[in-house]
Amino acid sequence: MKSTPPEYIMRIPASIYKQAIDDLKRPHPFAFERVGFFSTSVSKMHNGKCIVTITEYHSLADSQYIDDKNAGAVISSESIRQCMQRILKTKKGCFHVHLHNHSGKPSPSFTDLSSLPSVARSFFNANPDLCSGYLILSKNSFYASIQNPNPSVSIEPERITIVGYPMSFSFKSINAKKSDHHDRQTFLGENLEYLLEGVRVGIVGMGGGGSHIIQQLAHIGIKNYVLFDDDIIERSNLNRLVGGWDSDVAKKSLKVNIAKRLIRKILPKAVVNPIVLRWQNNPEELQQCDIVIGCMDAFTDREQLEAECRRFLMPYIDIGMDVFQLPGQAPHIAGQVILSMPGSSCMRCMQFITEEKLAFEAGKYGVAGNRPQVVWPNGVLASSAVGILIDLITGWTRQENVLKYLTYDGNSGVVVKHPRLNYTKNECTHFCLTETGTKIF
Amino acid sequence: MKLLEDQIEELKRISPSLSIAEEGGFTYIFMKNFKLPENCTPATMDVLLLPMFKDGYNYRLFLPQIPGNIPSLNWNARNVRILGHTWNACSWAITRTDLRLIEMLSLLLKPLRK
Repeated sequence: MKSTPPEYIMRIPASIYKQAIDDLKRPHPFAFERVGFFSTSVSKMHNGKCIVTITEYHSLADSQYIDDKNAGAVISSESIRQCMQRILKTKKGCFHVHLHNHSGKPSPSFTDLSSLPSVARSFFNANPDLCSGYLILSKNSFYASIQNPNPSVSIEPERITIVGYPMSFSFKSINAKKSDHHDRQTFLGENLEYLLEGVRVGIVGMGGGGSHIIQQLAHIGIKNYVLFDDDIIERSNLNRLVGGWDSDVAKKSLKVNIAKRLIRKILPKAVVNPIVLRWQNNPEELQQCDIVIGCMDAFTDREQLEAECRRFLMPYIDIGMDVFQLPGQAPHIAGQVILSMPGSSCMRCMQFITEEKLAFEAGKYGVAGNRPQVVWPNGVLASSAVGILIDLITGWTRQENVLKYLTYDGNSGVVVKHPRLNYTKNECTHFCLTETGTKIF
Repeated sequence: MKLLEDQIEELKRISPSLSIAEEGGFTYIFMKNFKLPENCTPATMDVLLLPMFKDGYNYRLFLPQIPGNIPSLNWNARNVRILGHTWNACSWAITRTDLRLIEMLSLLLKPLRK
């Protein structure tokens, strides 16, 4: 029986990508170009898709190049052997990587096509369960070929993402058409339609926060959604669940189905995957998202979701609100929006998640309780989160590597940068970029 | 967290193929095909020992599934994601904080015994 080749999603941390670019741009004493290697981790899904995360870049020593003017770079067999040894030792796949120093999508040259497939096959043969191949970088795009058990078939990933602020995307089969829909948001960049067509957003929690978010994302034109919530709408949700109707309460409509209806009323061709489960019960659907937004009450849920997003190199945006009241004082609304970017500070680094909060919650058996919730703070926080997401994918503000931890004072109506960011380094001591993908024991 | 080599060696006597992994600032010890108490079904499972304070517990033992034929327990960590895998743990508090790895494992297995 003929088997269908798997589909691949490839993710590269921006810091490792930059390390590779900086190295590959260095002049060599005699070679015209440089070569390096990426280590990869692969997570295979039940639906045949595979997520490939780049975990490390390995520069090639000057001495490993052979002086041969017939090609841009000829490297020693010893360097290939070292890569194969590394595959066996680390249980990580390997990609040959080099740079075509132009803009636009690169494609393999005649020399690349005649030499690189055999290199990729050597890597593949060292451990066929891993993911190996070759990758060509350009100034602003990428080409990847993944080695398949059938040597005559090479597979180009469905999507390649550079995970940084801002992100970069290369989708294999997206042909976005110009639409009047975007006439008033052209400042978001000339690739806007392409990005909105290709980017897949996961939203966990379709209550007061999540329902606002999907409405705004649909208005902007995001086409692909994975929505998680195992709950139905109740009358007490009508005070804030955008898109929820009185008739939904009687019908006990699922929140994800209400969200799907709302998205489709705005964007009839949107691809919406409503999942009536906790995300932990279907993590593979989450892992295929490019960006995840969490709208949950419990800190333990946030902690797990952030860890999963770090492991699969997905930026995670967290929103939440609470109402406090001290004796004799007016109630106080507070909230936060946090971007947890793989490779940068996590929610523990920012001291938003602490052992004290988790222990307190565990004492209540993980139940966050029926906290007060109202529609307008959710709207403010959701709008801020959508703003971060759109900047992340389009880069329209031209900010780079920024930490985002916004704090909301609902009584004064002010959103500001959280003061803790002044004392937070833009690095993470809790999650390591070399430890991505499903851990192989 | 730096685990003491002699305690790891001690643990290897009952689980030779253990491995250590880190996530979120926590150190976990993975033990493949670990032999559970006699009454448990299945008899062996891959288990994950967390030898440090988290979520209000000094130590925790995570299992990929809830074993059969065990006393009734409060499995308050169900389908939690750690290291890209799904785990379960019961609520079993150990108050001592000076235990060796093998001692914590022994105490964490206690509620599974009949």
